[in-house]
Amino acid sequence: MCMAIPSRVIALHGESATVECFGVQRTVNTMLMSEPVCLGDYLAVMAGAYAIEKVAPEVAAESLAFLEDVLREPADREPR
Amino acid sequence: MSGGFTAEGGIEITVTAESSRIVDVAIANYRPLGMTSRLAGFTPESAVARIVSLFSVCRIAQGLAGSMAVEQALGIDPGPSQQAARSLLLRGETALDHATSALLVWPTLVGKRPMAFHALKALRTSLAGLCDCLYPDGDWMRPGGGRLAPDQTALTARLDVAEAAIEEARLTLPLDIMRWRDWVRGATGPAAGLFRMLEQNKWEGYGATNVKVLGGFDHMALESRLAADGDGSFVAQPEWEGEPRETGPLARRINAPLVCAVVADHGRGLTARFLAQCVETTHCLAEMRDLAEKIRGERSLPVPEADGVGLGLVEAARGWLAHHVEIVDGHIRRHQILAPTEWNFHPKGTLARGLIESGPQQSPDRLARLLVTALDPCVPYRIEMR
Repeated sequence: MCMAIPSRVIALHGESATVECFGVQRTVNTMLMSEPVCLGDYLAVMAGAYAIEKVAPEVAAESLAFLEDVLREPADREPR
Repeated sequence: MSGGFTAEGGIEITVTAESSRIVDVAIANYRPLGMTSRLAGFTPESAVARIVSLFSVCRIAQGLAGSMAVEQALGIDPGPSQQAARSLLLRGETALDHATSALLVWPTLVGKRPMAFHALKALRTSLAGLCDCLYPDGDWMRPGGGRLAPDQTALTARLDVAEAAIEEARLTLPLDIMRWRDWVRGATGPAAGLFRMLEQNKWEGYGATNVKVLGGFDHMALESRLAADGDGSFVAQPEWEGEPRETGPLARRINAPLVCAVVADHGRGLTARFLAQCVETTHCLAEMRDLAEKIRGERSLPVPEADGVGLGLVEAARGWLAHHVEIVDGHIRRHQILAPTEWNFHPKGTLARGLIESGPQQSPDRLARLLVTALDPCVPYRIEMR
């Protein structure tokens, strides 16, 4: 099931944005957002392609710290 | 990142074809399934709150399954209005999830671009806001139930908007087989377009299998399996009574008359799978109105400091979702999640058997993508054809 990795907006392009998370950049569609998107916002991204909501910076920081710890575990990088 | 996926992981499906016949399917799961082991040491409430912050599409299901596991472990029994409110929220999430797939992904399966952003945005705003109409303090996921104070007027207004958005997106379909066939041939919109394409290519039954559906669980047996799953092999590749199983909208709506009629004609293939999602969306909206009438104000129950083991089981959009917790000295000692993706994308499960058992086809790569989409792993995936 789909995890909501908060991704930080680093560029805006009309109805899309470039976001960054753990060093990986991707372009996401922002047409489903119900509020304006600004540089530096953290967004929850659905299916890797659609931004669906903003994530409060403090919540994003906690989630990213938790996930960084998860990703450091070698067992979670191996396929099952 | 693992397997070339981003942090949320993904599913890698390697399909080997010989003379247009798929002869082998290998499925590698790169999802961070051990993630919940990091919840050890959290209080039950903070563990549930962290889970809610980590999931987006299935946030309600994850939060409620976690909360219900804690409640069972600590002997908390929320009242009937809390149960009805939770069922309503789960159905709202399911309807939104199915509609999102239909509007964003299904057009791409017939070579079109997603267009219905206006309807989807309205649907998202109305259904995602249901929590606020029921739990004004935003504590819907709290073990013991949040402070339930329903605003019936706002609830009805949001359900009206959701129903109108489903109608605008042309996802409302006739539930009678004859009228449905006419609708497929003449209607516009992503659902009719997809069903028409499947019919024209005679792909309605593609991917049909006899993998048994997961109707429900013996709770004690499931608890035992999870308790004994020290290496995580059960949550990674679950089987039930020695066999892979299928879970999800088709398994749930297999007895709906329209779905039943299509299964009788074409088996549990592509059309039945996509159709079950449409039928379920319509049913969810009707069921939410019935549930709304049963919800009254209800206070939160206290969370006692006790030890215990509990299982929380909910029907998420993609199928059964289980959380299992062990609580010792007021803190989580172990938290496990068994998700529908792992049932449906088991290496010997519904996807693998559906692809292998369907015989020679002209477009195995396109059909593989269709079947993966119909089963919907909800996470990024990659299909490699060999």
